[in-house]
Amino acid sequence: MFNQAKPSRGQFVVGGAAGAAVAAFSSVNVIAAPMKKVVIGLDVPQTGPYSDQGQDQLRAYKLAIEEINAKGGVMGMQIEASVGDDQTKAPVAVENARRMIERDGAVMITGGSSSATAVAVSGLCQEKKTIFMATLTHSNATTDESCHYHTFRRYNNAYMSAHAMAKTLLTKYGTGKWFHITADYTWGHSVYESLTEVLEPKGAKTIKNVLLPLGTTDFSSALSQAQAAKPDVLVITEFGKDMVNAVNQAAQFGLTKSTKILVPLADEYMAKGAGDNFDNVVTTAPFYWQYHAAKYPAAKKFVDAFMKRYGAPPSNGAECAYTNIYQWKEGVERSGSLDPKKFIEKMEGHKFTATKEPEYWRASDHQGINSCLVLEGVPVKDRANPYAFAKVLEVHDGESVSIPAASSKCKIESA
Amino acid sequence: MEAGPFVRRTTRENEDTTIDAILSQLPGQLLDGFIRGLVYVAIALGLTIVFGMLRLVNFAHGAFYAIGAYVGLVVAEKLGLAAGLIAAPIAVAFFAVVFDRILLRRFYSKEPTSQILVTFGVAIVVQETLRLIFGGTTRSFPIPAALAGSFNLGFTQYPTYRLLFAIGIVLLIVAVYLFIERTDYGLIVRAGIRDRTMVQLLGGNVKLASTIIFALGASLAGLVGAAASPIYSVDPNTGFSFLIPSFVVVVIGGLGSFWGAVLGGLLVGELQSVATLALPAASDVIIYIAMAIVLLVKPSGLLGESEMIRG
Amino acid sequence: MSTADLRFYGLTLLGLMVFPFVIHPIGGYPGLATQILIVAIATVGFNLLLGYAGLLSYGQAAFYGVGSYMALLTVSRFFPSHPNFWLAMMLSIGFVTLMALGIGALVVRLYGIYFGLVTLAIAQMFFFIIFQWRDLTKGDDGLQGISSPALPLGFTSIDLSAPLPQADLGPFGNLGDVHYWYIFAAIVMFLVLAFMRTLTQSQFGEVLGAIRENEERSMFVGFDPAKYKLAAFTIAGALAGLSGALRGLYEGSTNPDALTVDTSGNFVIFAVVGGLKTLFGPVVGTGLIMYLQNVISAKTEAWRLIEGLIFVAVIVFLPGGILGTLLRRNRKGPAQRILAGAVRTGPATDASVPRGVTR
Repeated sequence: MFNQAKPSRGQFVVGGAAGAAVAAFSSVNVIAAPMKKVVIGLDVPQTGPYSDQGQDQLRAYKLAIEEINAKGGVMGMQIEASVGDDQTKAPVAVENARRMIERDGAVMITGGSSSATAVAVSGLCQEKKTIFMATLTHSNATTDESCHYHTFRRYNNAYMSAHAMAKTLLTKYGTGKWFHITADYTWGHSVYESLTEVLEPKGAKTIKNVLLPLGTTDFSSALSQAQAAKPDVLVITEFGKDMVNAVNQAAQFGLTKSTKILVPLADEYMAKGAGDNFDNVVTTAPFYWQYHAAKYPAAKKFVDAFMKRYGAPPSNGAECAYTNIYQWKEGVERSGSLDPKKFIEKMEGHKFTATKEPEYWRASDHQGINSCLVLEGVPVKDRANPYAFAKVLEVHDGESVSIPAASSKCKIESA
Repeated sequence: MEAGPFVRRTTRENEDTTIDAILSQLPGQLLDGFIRGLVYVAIALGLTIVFGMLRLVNFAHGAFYAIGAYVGLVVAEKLGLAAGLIAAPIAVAFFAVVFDRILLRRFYSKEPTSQILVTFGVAIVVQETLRLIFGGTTRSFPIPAALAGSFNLGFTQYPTYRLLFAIGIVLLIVAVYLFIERTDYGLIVRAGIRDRTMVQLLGGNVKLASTIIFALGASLAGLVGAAASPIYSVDPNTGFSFLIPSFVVVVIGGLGSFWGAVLGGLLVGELQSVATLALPAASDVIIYIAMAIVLLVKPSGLLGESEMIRG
Repeated sequence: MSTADLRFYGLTLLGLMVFPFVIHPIGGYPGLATQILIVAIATVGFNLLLGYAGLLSYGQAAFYGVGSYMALLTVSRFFPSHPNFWLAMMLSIGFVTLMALGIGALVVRLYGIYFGLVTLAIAQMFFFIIFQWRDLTKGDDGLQGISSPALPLGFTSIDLSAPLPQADLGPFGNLGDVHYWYIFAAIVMFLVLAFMRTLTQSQFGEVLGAIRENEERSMFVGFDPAKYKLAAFTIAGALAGLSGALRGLYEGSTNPDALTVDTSGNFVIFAVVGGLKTLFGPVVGTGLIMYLQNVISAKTEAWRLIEGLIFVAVIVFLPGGILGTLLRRNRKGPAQRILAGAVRTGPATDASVPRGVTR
């Protein structure tokens, strides 16, 4: 069944064969388990601005792997994880992935948090003919102009968030003055382009877009410009700790009171950091534990297991991480093989139901088509628990907000 | 290392970039640049004092800033901001004395290169120790409610804490000036800046004096770090991201010059801010270009003495 | 060719041949070996600057980073219809050499502390230029997914990313894990080491040493220190550019991280830990620290602290670096003499006038 695998790729490692030194140093540290193993690489930030999100994804990965291993693994193989901290930096993420593939024989890489790292790892995985299940990456690029044959991304993208927010907010703010503070890399650019594309034809006026590099801590210059410009809407396209700093500093400049604040993507860690300053802030997310657990039994099961194990509900990145592992497992089992080509054939167009409504993988760009939630932050006193940070304003069907296949810039490689 | 908190740029043409719009934003920007400039001044002054005493450019000076910020953060979370501002310089001074006694002392008589290397090494060790203790993520503590609002200056609304911070730093700079000009230790520093051998001739208490001055320079950075962390937040790399512009400040102003550090710091802060409005793409590069020009025209810096570059 | 030469070439070749396999049992892999050799080229060049000329530059990342951008831009942007490996290398190295010459002319007259500060600041300047010039460099996202052109050799051309034939080597991995990139990097490294050995053993190397020890005296003897320092600065810059160009083409990507102060600091750490003023020290230091960065980082978050502690420990306890100390302890053996390569015990190493006072 696995004979197409080159021995050097170490598609699976047979226990006991490894020497003592290997056991001591290598991550694929097999002692005497007689079980066959399959190695996957978890490439997420444990440090850097997006580390909260990375660590939460790691929790979800581990939960999923333990569940699967306890039930007999993937086609009888136990999943072995090779973990790397990408530090929220693309070169480190690529180096991790290279080590996972070349040394540890990982057959699938998964991870993200920053689209810059996801796009870079996606490129490497294409070269190495290794499956990449992108997790938290929201830039259009990942499944649009930088899409690859070996990459799948289920998470919402910037286009979806922009269109979802626009549909919900246009009637009220459609013709106002918009001021943008944007993270200066693929994700930020992608959100900004997507938002202005929807808004400007409707009459919205873009006053200014201030670009700041990932990892910015002082937003005062941009915020004092925003203050002087008196916009109706301030879009803070920042994520993780950067977003927390930006929103908290915006409050110091009095902007959270005078202006409608939009944060295109957020989760409970960011809302927690922003505290009351997150009140009334409008954002989007592909998953919100409170909403989905109440609506879908599978989501409730996952949220409960996660809560029980870690004492906090899963963030939307964690949910995607969890589902990605299961999607990969099912893809491998449906194709009966670790061969990437056979796996991809089985994935393209595949319809499934996980923790949300029925959804599917679009064949043309490997984007997962599923719903996008528009949320509005609530003050701390109204939060039933520290992680219940928002109320759902509207849920947009995935099909209705996705980049139309016809206008996609994705030219996927042929098998 | 992250790029530092200082890049801004715009891309689209449909934006409002008229002179009126820029002018309306100018006062806020100038104030912003002034405050950032003050931080540079304070860090550069610490570098200058230590340089005067030990003829040493301390790459670990940024680490002092970071230690101060974290100590301030931890203490302030428990006991309030004021306690944090007191604890930070004391803790950093203590660390500096230990560092000086255990490690740096061995390098007093060695060439400048190995001095720079050892302070660089200590900077890495401190940065990574902070990362292990506090994690790699950005941290900040909320500004006390009484200071969290904004203050109407007439021409602009500005956060109250930042204004108080600016006043505090100005007072601190005055104190440093009085220390250098009016105290015996200050005399040693001034003598050291002019001529290294003169300090060595003083003999006797120089060892004690050098420890005290090193600790003072360090605690200055620690205090600024603690006071600034509610504004700029803090992560383990924070030290380096403020240290590098401060090097530029020192080169522009002239190494060893008090007024050079003040002039250089404010110049660098304001250059960044004005460029943010007028030529956003150049707002980071501009200070390095300014530095290159100064080096070509007056290698010893605007207010430095020419002997200095032969350090 | 003297016996010493033969031994040098023989041992170097042997070392390069076994390197990707001997690291297998300790968690290394051939891809890491390739990266180490490529990066070590820049460290070897930097050693000429810091070790031989005594100039502590904190700006080598500018040359390394610009080298990587130039090589990838040549392939993907300047000549996209005819991507050529040699052209990318030549344009990149040529550009960086000119850049080093220009910057060098500005900075070689600066001393000790100022030299360090100014090179650091200049590297920052290039970082921001690359970061902001998004039309050309794609900003923070960097250049990505650019496949390296095959290596044209006249009679044939080689796809460097192709693996060697499969052959199980037991505890030392598999020959098929090694890509042609490694062989190419090893050949370049061999040439660079031979060049550096010749250079440091020549009069040029001796004059540099004399300038490092006592600049004024060397002036009295009739050498112009600035010229020699400029030459060293330019060669070090060119080798950093070569290293960056190879890294860019090998990875098929680069980004502004290549130009950060961290990258510059890495070259300092690599060279000092391995051993300044030794031919192989920079290679050893690069290998050791990159191994830490790559293999140990997967095991513990404390890997950078370990790196910092090693660095400080070497400065305090092993001023000659790891290799330098080993060689000094064991100066007699022929292998040590050869490994030492260009180590000349200049007369003034320890007995020179206390520096920092006269300069």
